Amino acid sequence: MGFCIDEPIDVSVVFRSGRLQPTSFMWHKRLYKVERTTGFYSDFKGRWKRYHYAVQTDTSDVYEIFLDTEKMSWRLSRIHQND
Amino acid sequence: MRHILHLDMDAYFASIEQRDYPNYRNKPLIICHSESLSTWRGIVATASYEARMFGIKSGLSVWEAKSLCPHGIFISGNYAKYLYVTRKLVDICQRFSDVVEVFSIDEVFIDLSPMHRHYSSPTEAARRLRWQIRSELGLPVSVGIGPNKLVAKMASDLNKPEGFVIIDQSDLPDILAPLKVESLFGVGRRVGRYLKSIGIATIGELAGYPVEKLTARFGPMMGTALHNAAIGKDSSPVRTSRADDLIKSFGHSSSLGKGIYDLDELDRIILGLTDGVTRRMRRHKYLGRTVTLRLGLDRLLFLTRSQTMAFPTDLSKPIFAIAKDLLRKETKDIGRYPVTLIGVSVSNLIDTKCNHQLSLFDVDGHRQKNVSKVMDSIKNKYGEDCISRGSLLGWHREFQNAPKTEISRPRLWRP
Repeated sequence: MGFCIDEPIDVSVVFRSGRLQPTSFMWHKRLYKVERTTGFYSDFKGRWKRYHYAVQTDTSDVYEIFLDTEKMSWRLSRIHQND
Repeated sequence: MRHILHLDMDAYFASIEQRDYPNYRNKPLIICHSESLSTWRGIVATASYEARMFGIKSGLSVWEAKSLCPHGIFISGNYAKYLYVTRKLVDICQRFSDVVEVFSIDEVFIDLSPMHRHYSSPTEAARRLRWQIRSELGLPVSVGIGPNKLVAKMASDLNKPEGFVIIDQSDLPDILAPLKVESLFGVGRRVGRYLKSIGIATIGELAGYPVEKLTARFGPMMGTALHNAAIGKDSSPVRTSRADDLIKSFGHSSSLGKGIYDLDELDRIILGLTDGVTRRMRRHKYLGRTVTLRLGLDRLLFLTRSQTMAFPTDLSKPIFAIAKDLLRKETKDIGRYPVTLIGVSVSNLIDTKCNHQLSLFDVDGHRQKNVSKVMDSIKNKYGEDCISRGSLLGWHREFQNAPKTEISRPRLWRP
């Protein structure tokens, strides 16, 4: 099931093939390693672009994170957990 | 000879979510409109094929879906993401042909006729296109190829999901004749029921029915269109269109679950819907004259009432005033039945750039225009949720950004 979170997180990224690729993120003082990116899209909030990623971590849950270019900060928006 | 390809994404919204979230794969996944989950209002937008096995389909109310499949996974739709994927899909299609018509968020027509020199056959082009969509988007798609749009659309429906059906002109009677008349594009439940009542159950029987009798019942346009559709005849072109081409009306509507009797509450909903409509009219630079209020009463009775203003506008106040008046005229019925669906739309549009008659007595209009302009610029800068009317607080998110919005266009094509 999916749970809304909407909290700030710290994200490490690499630039690969012209794309931003999250590699790990820190949430509630715990480090989550990104195993793979399962989804990506971008949209606009007002005039600022946001880059959304669905990333699967070593816990096999999928996390929706996004980069808000207005504040240049990352947020965790939702968690999709395995039953 | 024309070769038209119709591309129909299978269980589109659900397939995108199952692609992005592996833990939803092979499970009954139901995508609902965003307000549906918290309030039990609203309807199912799409269901995965696993959920369809329980009888869940688009348009079913959320509570019905939950009773059919209590263990199903219900999530809100992410329309920004679906639009992003559609744009990518159209980009891929445009690599194959210049003549691409975006028919809906998950359907595209492509005219392959000019592409003969690039591909050995339409089949080869379709195979490459499917492969490209699979490898770039990771989504299942059904493809139909036919001599015209009508046949191509029916072909893509024949073998879902991930179907690939080609219908040649010579095979048309054999393939179409045994199909149920409701599977014909343009034949809805009501027409289907009537046709059955006069002994027409299949497309073959409709094709053999005298066209004069059809025109006598349905009128010359619809009667002839039905006959032509039944024999697989359609000469409408694939039209390349920009997203904002040929807009005929703007509308917002909302389903109200078990229903509302209170007129003041309905006024508030109408105001929220009107603000959403006028915001989009201003964005697309249109003014409108005809206001239409749609009401669904107790899921049984549907009313549509319209009124035309003397002067076109894109401001909420005059449109809301008319919609409110139209609502007040129906108080007799509203007293007896709850309002389960409400919608506001504005038609009779003109471009803001066109010259139009201004009212001499509109003293308040200038002030309203300025307020709207400021609110629009704030929303453009910070997003839709950042400013709202005080009277809509609490309702703002639900109605102003209601996903069930409509921009209706003239029917580019009808069989």
